Amino acid sequence: MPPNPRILAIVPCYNEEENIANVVAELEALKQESGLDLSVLVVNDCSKDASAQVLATLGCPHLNLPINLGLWGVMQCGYKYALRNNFDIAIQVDGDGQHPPHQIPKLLKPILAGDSDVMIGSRFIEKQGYQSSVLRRVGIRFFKGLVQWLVGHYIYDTTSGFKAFNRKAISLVCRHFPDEYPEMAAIILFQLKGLKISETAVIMRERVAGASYLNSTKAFIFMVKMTLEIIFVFLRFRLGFYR
Amino acid sequence: MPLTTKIISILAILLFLGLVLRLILQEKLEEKYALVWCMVGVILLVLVWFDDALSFTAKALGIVHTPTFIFLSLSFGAIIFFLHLSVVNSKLKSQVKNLTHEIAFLKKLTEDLKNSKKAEKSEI
Repeated sequence: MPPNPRILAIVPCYNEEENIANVVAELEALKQESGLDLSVLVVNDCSKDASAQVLATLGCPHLNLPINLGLWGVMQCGYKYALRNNFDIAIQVDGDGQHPPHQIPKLLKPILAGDSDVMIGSRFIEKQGYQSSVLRRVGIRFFKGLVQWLVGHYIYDTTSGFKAFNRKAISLVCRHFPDEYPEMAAIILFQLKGLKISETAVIMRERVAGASYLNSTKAFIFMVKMTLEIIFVFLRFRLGFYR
Repeated sequence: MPLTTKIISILAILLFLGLVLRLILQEKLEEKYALVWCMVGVILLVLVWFDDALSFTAKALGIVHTPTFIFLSLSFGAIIFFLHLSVVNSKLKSQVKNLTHEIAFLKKLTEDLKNSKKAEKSEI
C-alpha cells in the first residue's frame, strides 16, 4: 500500500434526490477533517426522480448510466472507474444515507496497515444502530450459516454494503462478476482466492428518506437467487472455471 | 397418412418456409437461425412425404403411437432451442452492461472536456 493511498468512495444512487446531497456533503467534510486522499464518485443508475439534476448542481464527479443496471451493475461500474483511474482503495457508501461516512477511517485502518484486503462494516458485531428489519435479519442469519459451511469463515454481516476493497479485490470484482446479488458471492470468491477479509463494528443509520425496493415477496426471491448464486460461485471455483 | 392430411401438411410447411425466406430477405433473421429453421422445414417435409419412415422410427424406439413420438421430438427440440436462447440472452445482457459502463465513462469524459474548455475560455 503506498504511503498516501488514493481512495474512491463509490456512491450508488437510484431515486435518492432527497438524500444524495447530504451524503456527498458528509464525504467532502470527512475529506477535509481526515486529510485522506478521498475522491467521491456518484453513480446514478438512471434514476426516475431528480437525482441527475441534483448531481449536476453538486459539482462532484458522477456517472449517469443510460439504462438501469441495478446495484451490482452500478458498483461494478464504480470499481472499473477505480481500476482505470489508479485508485488504491474503493469504498461503497450507499446513496440513501445509511452508511455513515465518519466511520470510514475505522473501516480503512486494517487495509491501510496491510492487514486486510477487504473490510466489511458489520452491523451485528456490537448490535448497535439500525439493525435491519426482522425478515432481513432472518435472511442474514441463513446466509451467515451458508457462508460458514462453504468456506469455513464466519462473517457476522454477509449482506453489508458498507465495505472497502484494496486494489487486489477491485481487480477481482472487475473480472469476475455475476450480475445480481454480489455481496455474498463476493465474500465466497474472495475467501476462495485467498484474500484476507475482516470485519469491524459500525453503527448504521436508518434510511433518511425514500423507500427500500424490497418487500417480503421480493425478499424471498432475493434469498433463493442469492443462495443459487453463492453455490455456483463456489462450484465454479472448485471446478476451475475461474482463471 | 391420408392424402388430404399430407397435402395440407405440405402446404403448411411450404408457407412456413416462405415466412422464413421472407424474414431472411428482410434481414430480420440472423443467418445461423435461418439455416436452422430451413433445415427444420426440410426435415418436416421429408417426414410428411415419407410418413412410413416416421412410423418405422417410432416403433424402432419402442414408441407405439407415432404422434407421441412427434410430440416428444418437437418438445425436446424446443427445450434445446430455449436453452440456447437463454445462453444468447445472458451473453447479450453482459454485453449491454459493459456497453452501459463505457457510455457512462464517455459521457463523463465529454462533460469534463467541455468544462475544462469553458474554464480555459473564461481564463482568457
